[in-house]
Amino acid sequence: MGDQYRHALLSRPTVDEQGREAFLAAMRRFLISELYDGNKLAYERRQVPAFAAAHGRAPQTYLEVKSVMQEDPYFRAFSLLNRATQELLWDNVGESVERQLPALKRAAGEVPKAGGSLTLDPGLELPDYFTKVDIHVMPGSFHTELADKDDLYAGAVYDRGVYIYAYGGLGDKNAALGQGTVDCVRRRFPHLKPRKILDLGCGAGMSTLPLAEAWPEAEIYGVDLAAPMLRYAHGRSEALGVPVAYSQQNAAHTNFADGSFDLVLSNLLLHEIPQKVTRAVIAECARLLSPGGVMVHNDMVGWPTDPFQEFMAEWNAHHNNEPFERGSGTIDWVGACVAAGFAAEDVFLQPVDAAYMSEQLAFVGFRGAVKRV
Amino acid sequence: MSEPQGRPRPRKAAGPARPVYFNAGDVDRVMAIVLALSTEVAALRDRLDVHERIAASGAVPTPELVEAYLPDDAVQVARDAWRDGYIRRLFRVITEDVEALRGEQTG
Ligand SMILES: C[S@@+](CC[C@H](N)C(=O)[O-])C[C@H]1O[C@@H](n2cnc3c(N)ncnc32)[C@H](O)[C@@H]1O
Repeated sequence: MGDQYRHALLSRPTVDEQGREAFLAAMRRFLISELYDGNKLAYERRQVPAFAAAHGRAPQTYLEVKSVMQEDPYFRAFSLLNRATQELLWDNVGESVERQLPALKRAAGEVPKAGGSLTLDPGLELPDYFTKVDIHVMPGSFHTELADKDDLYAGAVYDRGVYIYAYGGLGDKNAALGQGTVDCVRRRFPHLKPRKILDLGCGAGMSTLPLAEAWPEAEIYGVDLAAPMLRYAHGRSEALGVPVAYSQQNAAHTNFADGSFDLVLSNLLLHEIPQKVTRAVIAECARLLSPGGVMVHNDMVGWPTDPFQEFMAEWNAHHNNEPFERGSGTIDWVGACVAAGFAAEDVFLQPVDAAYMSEQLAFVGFRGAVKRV
Repeated sequence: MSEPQGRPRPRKAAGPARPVYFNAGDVDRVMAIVLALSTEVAALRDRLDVHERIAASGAVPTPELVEAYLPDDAVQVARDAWRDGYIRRLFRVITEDVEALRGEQTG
């Protein structure tokens, strides 16, 4: 794993913390690129024959697959190591960031200004689906604050934690997801010259900054429910010299005027919200887009139907605290867009090969629609 | 030289079966502890590496020098390679299983 780009807000781990982080990143790589495939082998060569001996046929549903896989010693060891690595990752990064919080807050206050802004709404109601489950098993999730004022803990943990989780696979500025979305839009809509762009569920702004690089003339906006993510995003963007207008809002109903944006997008937002909220987000996109404007979401684009693949997807959602993944993958995308006012011919769905974790994230890609002129 | 003895000493006490102290879930905890400990060993190894490299430069590795040390690319590559080997050794009993399923030689 190479070094993460050291912007002013990036946590600076001690030698020991670095050693732990490097080990956990190496564990992640080991789990994903070496151990993961063994599960299929254990299933096909050990569990299918055992199941067939008892039932005269192979498992036909993911629950049948589950019934045999949860007894498999290899799968059990893989599952334990995967979960324990995940927990250690957040705990170690969390400890390191907590230790540095005063310094990080100071750094946020001292970065030279790039012209962006931060608007928080302390009265904003955080929905239950958002606060009841800590997504990714990240303790405190995105919204928990360690201090009453200027807290940016969750953002700092996310920036460092995601880098380790992906063992550096998202690039030294964790920009690969946002870059992928940029590439998708450019390829599909080569003539689009967005003047105003909105990033929904922008988090720490890691996927927001590539937008500014791709469309330097555009005004960039980011909204998120979580104040500590936004404070960090703001400080980080300013530190990297990119002006972004961040505000604390629910992506399902923002305060921007109708037709304000030429491009409204999200990265890894939809699989973290219930279907009903996704429908509201699509309707909000339809409202916010100018004629000819584009909506695109970088996330799940389906859900496996092969019983083994479906079992692994279910397992991942469960082990990783992702209660809405299945709902997000299985939503009738065209129907949901049409219900929100888009024309069926203007809706698109584009699976891509997730080079990073391709086996495990077989159903990722882009889903979007264009607003009629 | 010990005196020849009669019967071997009893090693199992008569009475109810040995109580079972651990439950399902306990092995999970032990494995989680092993992984946490492995993390510490890896961190210790990196720290030792810093010590050796500072010493090789002729300096005394004080805590301040250790904290200030920045590994260059070659050092990182060497550490990555060590870590990968370390992880493979740690989890050999698990990867062995896959090799057996593939029908490969284990040993
Ligand atoms: C997995 S993170 C992705 C962050 C960012 N898009 C990125 O690519 O790095 C999901 C983000 O969505 C935010 N979020 C979840 N539900 C939301 C909602 N209804 N409105 C706005 N943001 C939301 C979370 O706070 C979190 O920061």
